[in-house]
Amino acid sequence: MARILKVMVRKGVNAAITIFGIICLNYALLRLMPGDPALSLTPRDPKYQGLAEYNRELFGFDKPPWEQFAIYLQRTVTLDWGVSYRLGLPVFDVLMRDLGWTLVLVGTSTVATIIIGMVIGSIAAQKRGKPFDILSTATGIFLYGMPIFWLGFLLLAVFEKGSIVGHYFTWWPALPSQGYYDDMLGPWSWDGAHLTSAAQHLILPALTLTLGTLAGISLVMRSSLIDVMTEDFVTTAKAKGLSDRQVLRRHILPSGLPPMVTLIALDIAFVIGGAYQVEVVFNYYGIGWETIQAIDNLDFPLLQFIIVVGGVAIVLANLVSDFILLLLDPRIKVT
Amino acid sequence: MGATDAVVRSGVVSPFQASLRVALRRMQEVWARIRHSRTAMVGLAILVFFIGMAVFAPWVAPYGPIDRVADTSNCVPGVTCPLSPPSAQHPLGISEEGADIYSQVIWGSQISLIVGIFSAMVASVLGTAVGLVSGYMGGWVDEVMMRFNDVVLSVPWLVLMIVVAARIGTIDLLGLILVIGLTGWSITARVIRAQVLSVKERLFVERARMIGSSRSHILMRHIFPNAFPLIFANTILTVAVSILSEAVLAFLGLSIYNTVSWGKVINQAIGGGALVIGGNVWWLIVPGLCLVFLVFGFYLFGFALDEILNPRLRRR
Amino acid sequence: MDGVSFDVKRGEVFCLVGESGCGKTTTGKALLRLVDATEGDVFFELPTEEYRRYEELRAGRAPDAAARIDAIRRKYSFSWTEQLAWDTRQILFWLGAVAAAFVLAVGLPALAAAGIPGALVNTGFILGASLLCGLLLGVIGSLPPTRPSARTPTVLALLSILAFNLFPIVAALGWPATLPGAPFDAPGIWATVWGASSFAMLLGVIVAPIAAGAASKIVLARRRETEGLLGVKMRTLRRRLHLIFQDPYESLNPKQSVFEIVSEPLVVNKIAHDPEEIAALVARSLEDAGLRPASEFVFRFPHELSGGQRQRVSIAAALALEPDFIVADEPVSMLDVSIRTEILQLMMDLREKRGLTYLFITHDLGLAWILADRIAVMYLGKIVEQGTAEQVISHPKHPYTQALISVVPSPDPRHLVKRTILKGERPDAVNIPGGCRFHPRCPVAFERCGWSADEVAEELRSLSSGGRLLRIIGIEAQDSRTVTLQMAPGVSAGVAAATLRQIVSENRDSRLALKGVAEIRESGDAIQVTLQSWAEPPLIELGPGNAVACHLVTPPAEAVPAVTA
Repeated sequence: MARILKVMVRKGVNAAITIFGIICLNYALLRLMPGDPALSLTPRDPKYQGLAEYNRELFGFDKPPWEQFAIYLQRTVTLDWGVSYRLGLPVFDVLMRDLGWTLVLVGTSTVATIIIGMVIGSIAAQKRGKPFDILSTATGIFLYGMPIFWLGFLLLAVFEKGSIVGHYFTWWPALPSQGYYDDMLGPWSWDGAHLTSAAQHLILPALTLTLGTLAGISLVMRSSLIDVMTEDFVTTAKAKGLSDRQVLRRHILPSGLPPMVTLIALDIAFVIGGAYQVEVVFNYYGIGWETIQAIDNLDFPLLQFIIVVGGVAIVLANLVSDFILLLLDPRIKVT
Repeated sequence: MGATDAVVRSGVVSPFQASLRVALRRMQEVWARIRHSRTAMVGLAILVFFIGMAVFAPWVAPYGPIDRVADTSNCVPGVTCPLSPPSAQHPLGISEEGADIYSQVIWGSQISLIVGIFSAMVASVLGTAVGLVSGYMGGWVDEVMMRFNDVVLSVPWLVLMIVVAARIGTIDLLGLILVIGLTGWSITARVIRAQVLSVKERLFVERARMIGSSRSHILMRHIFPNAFPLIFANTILTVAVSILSEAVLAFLGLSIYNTVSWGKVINQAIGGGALVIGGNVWWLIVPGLCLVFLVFGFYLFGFALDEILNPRLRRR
Repeated sequence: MDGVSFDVKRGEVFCLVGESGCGKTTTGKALLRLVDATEGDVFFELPTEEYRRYEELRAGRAPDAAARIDAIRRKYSFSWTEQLAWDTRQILFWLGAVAAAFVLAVGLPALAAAGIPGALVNTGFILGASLLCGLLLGVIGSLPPTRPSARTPTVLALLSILAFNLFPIVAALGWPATLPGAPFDAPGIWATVWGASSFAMLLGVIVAPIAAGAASKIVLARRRETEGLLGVKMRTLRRRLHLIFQDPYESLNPKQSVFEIVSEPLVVNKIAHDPEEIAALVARSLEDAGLRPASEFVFRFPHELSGGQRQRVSIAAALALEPDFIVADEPVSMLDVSIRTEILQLMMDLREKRGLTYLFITHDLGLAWILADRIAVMYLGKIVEQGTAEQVISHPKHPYTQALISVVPSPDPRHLVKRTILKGERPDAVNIPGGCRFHPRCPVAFERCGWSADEVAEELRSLSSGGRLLRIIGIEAQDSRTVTLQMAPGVSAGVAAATLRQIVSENRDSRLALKGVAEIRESGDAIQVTLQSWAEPPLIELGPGNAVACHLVTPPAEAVPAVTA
């Protein structure tokens, strides 16, 4: 147990260093933009002149660089991130609100992807060479290469209310495609109507994201299981008379799973990238959607801290998956 | 081998020439195995098709990528006016700006391929260098580089790309290539580093150390050649990823302004109401399919090549 | 592996024999410094008188023995490390260099400002700073424990260029007050600083690396005088020592052709540059190794060769350097039996032809029998017997050696030898038995061999579970020399002790662990069993070059000190 704790602490420290690195990178990126940073943080509209001064003071651009950095660090940590002028709300509040929705989306799809992907992968590995395997592998490679936003639009075209298909086949199910819950229900509260609406609105985006990342997981699961299946100790197990199911559960999966978890951890960055696209396609007001809006509107206060939030989320997700990996298989040597 | 014998006997061959000869032989072997692999040939066929499309675009496409087909004043509604549906003259219809979508798709292959390939090369070179040095040196060099890699990996690549793009200024071809390349090296570095770590432990590396090879010699002559098959296969997969990245960037609005890429076409398709009833759905579908198939081709070829160059000791 | 010491004479074949895991491979690698020894010396080409002097110094108590030993080590040992203390001269030297740097840094700008009319003050400052930077880097970088090599000056020069370029950015970012109206972006800042005193910058970029290189060269040269065999000379020495690996499959780079493999030692050590010369040497090595005609094999790859051929390639690569000494680590154990003879024959022929010295590492005593001039038998990291082949094979004195020899199959069916099969298994390297490391398996172990309380307790427990110790329960090892036994209720200690004594004396010869029992006493209601004292058997020299480490072997009569009446 002590060993695991020691490793966890080390990983925690690494994560902290990485987060610090992200914060510094953020600082550097803004300062490296051409022009006066205070002006970058405000739109070019003359009516925002006062805001420029406010920002200048807030971020201390007229002070020496070391002080600037200290101010920046202090404000980052105390979560005082300036005000988004598109929405007029503090950046921190906006980001936290959206982060929740994005996490719901990413969380649901990740869970679905892992479960479905692993199942398909293991079935395909067992029925190697048979039609199921060939079909699922081909579909997998196909889906793997599909741009997620395009996939999203396809699904939109097929499923949304008032879609072309729905027009001709009136019985085709129609799913909502905008926002994360029905605006007409009023502000968010934890009641039945809101929850069902949110769930409904979640279906299409989550489906898109799941399909997009499913392929990778199932393909790697399949190949890693096949690698394990051809090992000698599996043949020995079969010779001993264990049924296929038992062999799978007791011998193959424990060896095949760890590389999977590593891959999932690595994949999380891509999943979040995909989430951005999905949110834009479906107008799902999460971090991704907010990012694109911020870019379009040059809302730099928001943009600046999206990097931090997104980065921290990924680092934390990797950390969690590393811990799960450790708990799964204490034999894993940590590099 | 007769010619080689004669050369060796006469003693004229230098180690460098010998290595070249040997490398040539290896490439011939690999090509033969590619020809025998069905997966590889299918992938290669797809790639050849699209590369052909890109190379011969000026001759195959009836119109330029952003040329207006007809002036607004004398256009034929439903055929040559903007936002017309597919017709006999224009198989995919006309875009909102009056351009022939079919030509756009053909021209778009150029950008997608050029950006994809070159940015993948940038990312691959950078990632390989980092992976080799980091994996071989170990110690604090490795730690520092991996932390940096983590940071680059963790920041949502989209945002990073956008910020880097804004830094570089107006998007031109070189800028786009650099942007995608400079943000895509992290995975390659990870993969190469893992491979270097395992090659480093092999017996012949120990032997090389024993006979007194310097560290750079070991890195270049032993570690790199044994990691090269992986590097190569990985590059091909990186190309696929780069093509997708470019599509995403174009879709979000960051694209080269004087020509089109498939992502941009899709962007315009959505803007032009392809999804609305009565809209031109093919405008949306065809460029997407092109992307899918091109990436599919790269993956097939990449997987097959990986299998050939990295023979697994166990036969499936 | 601990306290292993042996010497190999020029031109002989010395065999190191032992089971796997006894440390023989590590010994071989440590010899060639592939693995670092934690303590001890590897001497190379040590003249005999020096060696004798070394032994005397180690045994004796001369007051300056340490210094004189170090002198010998410095000249002849591989493991002389550069943990050179900073001696006074070096410290003074360093201080002097720093002072000189300061003077230059201050004086040169002053000179420049005075001599070159119109030069900005900043110019001199930057110039002086760069010089200081270069000198400091050069001096610091060449002090211990840096490994002195030809490249150190270059590296330091590059570092100083880097430092020099970092300098303007840091200066600009840190002191914006000196740059009024500076733009905010880094390239702008850099351009400003550069532009303000480009002359100085240019000069600085040239001066700092030169200063760094020169400083490091001077300090390195001074260090080289005090250098030992290691570091500077190791490269040249590596040419004369070589290792042949056990695994012919993994020891060759699959991506290199035979030509590249065999020519690599030549290229790397810059022995031959001419392509013709290299090709000729490669061909000669291949033919010497038995791969004839060489041209057939030169462009093949390892996966196109059989195991025996691969090993020949390894040998050819070793020969290319024309070494004097080859460590062969089980060179034939992974080859087919039919090929083994060929390879061994080849190695012996080469020894004749090229005057090689071999250290043969093997687990097969039969091989040692045939090949060796001298043999050392290792068990669990210690040499247990050593001597000429004749002495060790025909007159083995250590029980382990005797057991090994008895199991070597003889081709003569009429020659029946009683085989001594050792009981038990070789213990783990982490659990080395105390005393004589072999005692748990030794068929003739006795009292002094090192029976620990755990072993005796174990033996008593097995007796008890066999039903022989009816009235005794609870056998525990108290400490390293005592075992405590509890009696069953209702039994007096005296009776139990007596039973125990009887059983012990009955079974002493069949259960050797009981020989470790010294005394059985009652104490209270428990029985205390005290064990014999034991010691680790030292390696005793029975004759010149012949040594055994076993308590059964008594040392030759030592000179008895004169008894003063």
